[in-house]
Amino acid sequence: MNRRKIEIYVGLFVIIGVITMGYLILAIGEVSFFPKNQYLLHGYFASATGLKQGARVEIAGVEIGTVSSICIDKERLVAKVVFRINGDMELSDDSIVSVKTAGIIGQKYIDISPGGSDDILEDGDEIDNTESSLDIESLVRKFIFAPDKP
Amino acid sequence: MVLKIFIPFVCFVLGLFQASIGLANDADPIPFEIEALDHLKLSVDQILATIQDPKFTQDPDEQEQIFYTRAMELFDFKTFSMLSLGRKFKFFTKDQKESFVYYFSKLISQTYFTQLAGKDVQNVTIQYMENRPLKPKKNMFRTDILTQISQGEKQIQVTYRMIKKKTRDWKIYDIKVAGVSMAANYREQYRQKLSQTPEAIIIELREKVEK
Repeated sequence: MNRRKIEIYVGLFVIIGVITMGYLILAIGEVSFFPKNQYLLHGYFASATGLKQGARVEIAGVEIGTVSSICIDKERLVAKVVFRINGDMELSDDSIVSVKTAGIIGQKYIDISPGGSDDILEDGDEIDNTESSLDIESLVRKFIFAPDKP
Repeated sequence: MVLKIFIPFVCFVLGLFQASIGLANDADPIPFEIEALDHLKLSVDQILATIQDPKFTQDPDEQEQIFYTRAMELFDFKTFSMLSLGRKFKFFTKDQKESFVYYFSKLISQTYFTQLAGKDVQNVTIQYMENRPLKPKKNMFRTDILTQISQGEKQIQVTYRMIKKKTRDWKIYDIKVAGVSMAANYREQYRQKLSQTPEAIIIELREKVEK
């Protein structure tokens, strides 16, 4: 009888442990069983260096979405970045999207500067005003090899 | 009898021929991005010719007026202002918007155009690298013209963002220098000034212009 009780306790402990572990994995991985109401926008960048899938999309430092995918546009040979934006967030068509760095050597993220137009972007629309990430190497190169350097 | 059939047949064939020419002409209008490029080239050449003209006035006030006129012809300052102000543009009244556009255009003209006077532009060359049309919307056409401006060994990439609204000419609404947008730069500055009212923004702009 005692042995049976112990087995039940151990079984319960294992089940609770597995459930907790599963919850932690889903929470850390930001996996949701109930998909949020979101819509997709995309933009083209001359360079998306360092930007990763899943990177934050922010307005004034507050997360409003994530980077859904990054690929090369084979015709224009520029980076096409798709953003997943929270459904309650309305963005006007003159919003400016920039690839920025958190801190000096931090991760890349997308910053959206909202515009003043009355035309609101819808699912599948393109954001025309984009700014690529700053290429520190090319800036340093320009500085070093500037022809009018003393 | 033969003539009775032959003449209408010839008329019919000629009619078809003319119609096909007409259709061909209608089907091949000049692409809008080429129109924008031609307009930009012409405007830039005119400005360079004005500066290089030995008879160009030495009077700073007259120079400023000439450059302001040229800037007004070349830029769509309403769109440029809207893009620069971002969200704040929504909170401006109609009169405040007009005042802002006026002083903003003056500021751009003074800051960038008037600086050109007296500068040596003899060996400045502009290479038109690429023309990227954007998706047209609401009777509005837009294109990004990528150029490389060289003077001696110095080179810089400049992108002219151009817009055509309804029957108006092509105009520039933003300039990107080495990938950095001028409008985005102004918007960032205005975004930092959270508590600034539209009146305060206009007063600050007016003071800059009148300095």
